[in-house]
Amino acid sequence: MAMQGRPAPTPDHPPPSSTSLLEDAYRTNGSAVLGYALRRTASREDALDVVAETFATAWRRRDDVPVDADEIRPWLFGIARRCLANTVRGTRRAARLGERLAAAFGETGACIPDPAGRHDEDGRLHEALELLTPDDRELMTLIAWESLTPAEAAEVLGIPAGTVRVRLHRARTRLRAALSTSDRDQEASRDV
Amino acid sequence: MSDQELDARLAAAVGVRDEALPSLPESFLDLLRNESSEDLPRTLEGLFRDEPASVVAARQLAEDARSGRRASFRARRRTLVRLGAGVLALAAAWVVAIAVASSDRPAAPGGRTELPSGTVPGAIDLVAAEVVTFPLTVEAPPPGVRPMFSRWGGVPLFGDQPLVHAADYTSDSGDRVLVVLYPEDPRGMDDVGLGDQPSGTVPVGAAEAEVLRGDGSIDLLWERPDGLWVAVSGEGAYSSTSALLPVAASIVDRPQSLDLQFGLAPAGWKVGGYEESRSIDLVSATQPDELLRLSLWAFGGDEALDGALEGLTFADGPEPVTIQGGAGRMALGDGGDGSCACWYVVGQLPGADRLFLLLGSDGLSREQMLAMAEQVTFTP
Repeated sequence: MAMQGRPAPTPDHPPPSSTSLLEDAYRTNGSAVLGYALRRTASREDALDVVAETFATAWRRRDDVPVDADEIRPWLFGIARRCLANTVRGTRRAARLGERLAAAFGETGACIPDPAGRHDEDGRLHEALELLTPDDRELMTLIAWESLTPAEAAEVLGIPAGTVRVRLHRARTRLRAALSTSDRDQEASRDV
Repeated sequence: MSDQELDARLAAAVGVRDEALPSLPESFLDLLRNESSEDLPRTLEGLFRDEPASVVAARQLAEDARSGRRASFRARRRTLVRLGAGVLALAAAWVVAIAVASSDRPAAPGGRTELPSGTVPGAIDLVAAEVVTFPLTVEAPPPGVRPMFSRWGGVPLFGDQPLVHAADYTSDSGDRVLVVLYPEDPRGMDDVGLGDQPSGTVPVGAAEAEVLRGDGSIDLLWERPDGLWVAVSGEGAYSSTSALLPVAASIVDRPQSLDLQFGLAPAGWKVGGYEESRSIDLVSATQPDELLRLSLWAFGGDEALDGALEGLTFADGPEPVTIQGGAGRMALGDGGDGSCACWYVVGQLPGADRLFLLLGSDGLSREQMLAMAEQVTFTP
């Protein structure tokens, strides 16, 4: 099977090492992982924790990094998702890697937006998303916000690609229903 | 709301956009590169062990419960039990006046319990629950695969979404057959996901099914004499017409009971939906937003019992109770920080080494919740 996004190895061009694959992944997908974390956490600090721990975990597991470039981002999101769950559960980490990532950002002068400062979004949509199961919500947002295909989202969620079809249908149905209820409530409250 | 409108609304709510974010700093990559793997924190390693599905499901249920508690903060004008999409968000305004003591309940045939009918005007009585079924049977299913049944739509909770039943036969190797029963031609419905390449027709019994090919999948779609539509989709080993056709042709109108069942339920309440055979919602016929959710939980043991309620906050700590002859836990959420003011009942399923979680409004009495928990069955 031909590899996508990368020339097939030849004797003169050996396949890239797992370390170089992960370094490439860090440079090309780092912003996407940061965005993923910022969209799902309440604070910049939590997001940086998730990003730092995602790449620390990926580094330890670099022998597992996919060779196919198209599979790397779902693989990273799969790790980030677990790290995010760990953050949400409030597990105390032995070392706040996020602080070291924040310090590294500080050296570059880069500005990271703070999720706590978001006020201009569709609040009813976010409320409706919260009415989905966590897995369904994640499926919807992986596709809508991270631009993954359903098959890639299935990889992140660790479920068969076919199962995503049913879940996606169900989740969209429920999201529509929740939004309709929310919109009706708002219209009714305006009428009062 | 059209597909496009929903997508647009989702896209507009993305918040932070990746293109506005900086690249990750090289110095942090240096840190990863220069510190040996052993020096990096290992607190996350436990997250990457292979976990049984039941544990994953338990975690999801725990997160559901937490989400529900958060949602209760946004309770609006009415006080409702809302258990849509895996979330219990409630504030109840029920008039409930039935008190049932398990010790004096007469046993009914089949081991279930008959309760005295309500004598209090306006009260909600508990009665024998309807058996929850999937309406079709596949007589030649993929071998060795247990189906997961789902049902959604058709009740006010889902707005005007039509009632859909689905049976998912997915093997560990990824081979899959999906049987879905629709009330109308699904091609006019949103998000159905059927293949987009018409590839002729084939006979399925007395019907002529359209063949639709998708990316790595094939669908057979036909209308039944009663006007319902059936879609049978195949993937992996079932992604060819020849492999899928015998399965499709073996479908008969014979309801199958779900493994998980309520034994008692509030009178007049109906099945609102079920999800992948592990969770059943009951909805009130008169208060369609009021719901009960029964879900399979993790494997048993006292540790799992306590773990089921870990992290939740209650008016009083979880109370040890006896359910179906085994240890159980019961607590009323206090509606505080991230909590839902609802009953949490965790019981063990005798002989199944499984736990179940029953969530219900605090408008139900403690005795009612225990009576319903006592009659839960799971027969895999």
